Amino acid sequence: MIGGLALAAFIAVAGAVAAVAAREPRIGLTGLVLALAAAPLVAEPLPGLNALALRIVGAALAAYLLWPAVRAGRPGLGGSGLGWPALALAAVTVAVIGLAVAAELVVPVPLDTGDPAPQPGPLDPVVLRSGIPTAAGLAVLALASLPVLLPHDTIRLGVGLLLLIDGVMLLRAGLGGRPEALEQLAVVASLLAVAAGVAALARFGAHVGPLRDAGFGAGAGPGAGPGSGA
Amino acid sequence: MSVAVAAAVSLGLGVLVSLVRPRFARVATGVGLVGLIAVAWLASEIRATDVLPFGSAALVGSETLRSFAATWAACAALLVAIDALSVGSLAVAGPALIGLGAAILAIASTDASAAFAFLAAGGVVAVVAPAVAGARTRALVAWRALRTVVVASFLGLGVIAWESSPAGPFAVGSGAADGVDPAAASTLGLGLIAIVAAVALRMGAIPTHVWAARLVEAIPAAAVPAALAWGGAAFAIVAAGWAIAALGPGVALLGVERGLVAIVAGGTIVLGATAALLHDDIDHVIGYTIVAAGGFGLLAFATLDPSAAPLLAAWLVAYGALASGFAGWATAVRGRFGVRTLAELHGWARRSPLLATALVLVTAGLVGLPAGGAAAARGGLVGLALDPPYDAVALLGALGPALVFGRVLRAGLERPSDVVARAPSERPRLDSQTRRPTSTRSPVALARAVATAAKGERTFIAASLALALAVLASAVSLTSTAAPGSKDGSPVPSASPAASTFEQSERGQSPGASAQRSMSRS
Repeated sequence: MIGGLALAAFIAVAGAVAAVAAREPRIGLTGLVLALAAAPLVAEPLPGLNALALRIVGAALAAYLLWPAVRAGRPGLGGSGLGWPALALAAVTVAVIGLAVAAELVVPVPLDTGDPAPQPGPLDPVVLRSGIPTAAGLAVLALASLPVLLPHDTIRLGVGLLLLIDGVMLLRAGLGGRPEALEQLAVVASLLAVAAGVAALARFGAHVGPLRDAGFGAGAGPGAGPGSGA
Repeated sequence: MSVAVAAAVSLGLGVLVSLVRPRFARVATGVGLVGLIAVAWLASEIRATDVLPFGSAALVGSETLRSFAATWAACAALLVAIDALSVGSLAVAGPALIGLGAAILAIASTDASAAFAFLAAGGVVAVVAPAVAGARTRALVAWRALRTVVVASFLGLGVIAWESSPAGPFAVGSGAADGVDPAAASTLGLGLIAIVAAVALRMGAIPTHVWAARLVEAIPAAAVPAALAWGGAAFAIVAAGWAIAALGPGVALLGVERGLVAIVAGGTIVLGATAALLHDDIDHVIGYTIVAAGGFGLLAFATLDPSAAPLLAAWLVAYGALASGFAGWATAVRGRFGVRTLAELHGWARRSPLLATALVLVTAGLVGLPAGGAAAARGGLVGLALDPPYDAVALLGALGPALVFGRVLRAGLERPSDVVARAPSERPRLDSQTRRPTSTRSPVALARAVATAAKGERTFIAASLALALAVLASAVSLTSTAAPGSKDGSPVPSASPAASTFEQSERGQSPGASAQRSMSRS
């Protein structure tokens, strides 16, 4: 069981690395789907079949919503300037830290003799059950932080936000246990809303940040009120 | 079941309207208008006894939910009509329906984590869709709002997971033998700061207001309440429900953090009103007024007293309604005169007494009508959160809108500018075409006649609807309270305070109780 958990976590983090680092849009979107679809499997115990199917279909739909914008040749998914080796190393580092933190959070059960039990190590199965989702969540959040905090195009921002949701849900599974069905439904709704919103924004161009703000300022004179362009 | 029906109708019609709008904007707006009226009726049927189990969680009706959803739907319906008749963006109905549906699910959910995720989904649509419907430059501004809404919602969700985890205060504090555990106090404080940061982000509180300031420029004024005021209010209700139940028992340990929250709230109230006073653009004036009024909602987090929950709910329902009233006024003004800066709007009130009356009513509602429930709720929040003399300063800040809109009204009473003088008259023309009796009883012909008449008189109708919205908003601000009975004697909203999230915290894992056990052991 721990092996399956670790495999799913590895796929989720590797997918996130691909989504952030890949310069080829197909690889980036494939990584995104893998990261989003593997995340609900990183939980002990596993969610119900319906919830699992919902999350996986939601992941595929979210990537599908982004695909037309990518296929249309708009900028985006241009890959991080750091390159995948650096990102992967950063993710592994954060994951190791997450595992160590998770090990500290486990409260050992006192021995029958009444003596305090030793603190379990990071590779103890008790620790790994909550530690693997925590570590994966922190790693995905670290990867998502780059496109969320420094987005240079809309689609990259969208990928970052989807990974942020993914990372928070992984962290939540590690810290608070498996999400319930209603929460899974709400998370899928969020994934789809973000993907649809990003796809809609990408129709108007890809650049965000100061350059875009300047463009907005130049176009908005006193007479150009809301709705004037509608 | 009534909760699920209201949410399903709202979300279903919202998605339909959003999909149809790009090709058939008028049809979509008509469907959206009917949908909002239907949701207002459905929401008014929500009862506190409605429970729909969903796995281990449930969707639970409450008085807070009923008043919140019904008021939002009614205000949104009027805004959609005003927008269609004046500026004609036709981009208000879909986002309002989806945002409302998501808020219904969020407030009804007994799972606070699910509630935040629902609010993220609804908030994204509410901020992105109206911007996308506009011009390119306006659409691109929405990225900042999109990021803020998602980050705020999932920050809230993360805080809930963290606080209930072995790293949270309820576990951290369990090991101490006696006295107050400093580690638990620290984690409680971090939890409060994080949840308040999420709420401040979502409500556009100062200093996290940049996205809100950009957004109000970029989307139609009629879409601002759904994106900023109602969405932020739903977020605050959910967050406060969790915070009061989970962190409230450890409130004695949170002196510094609560002080910090009070400073953010006070800064938002004072600086928001100041910014509104300094701006000439009426969209900015409205935006900063909404931001400033939202600051009072943050005060509930500075007290964490359970009696603040009903006061917060009452204030936020009125806040949403009054924000809608201002947005309706701004939309009608923009449609009537085609400009939005005060310099160009000189004399607007002389040319449009209906809109002037509307502005006076909404401003009076926000400042505080005598014996008004919302004003009493706001006063209660201030009294619970702030000690003298700071409470007096905050209440003085509540008078800010009187100065802000007094200035707008004063400009309106001056000699009309050229733009205003050239604007069409507000009076109904009742020309021969609109007076002609219909010779047929066919519903289609009747509808056409009504549409023709409405088109001819749209300036008058839009102004009348803005006035109707102002009357509704000020009525809500008067009645959104209630019956006496809170422990400090201040009025309690008739919209019962405890939203379902409060009830959940009491019924479910009851983090507050465990916190109390682990926190106070001296």
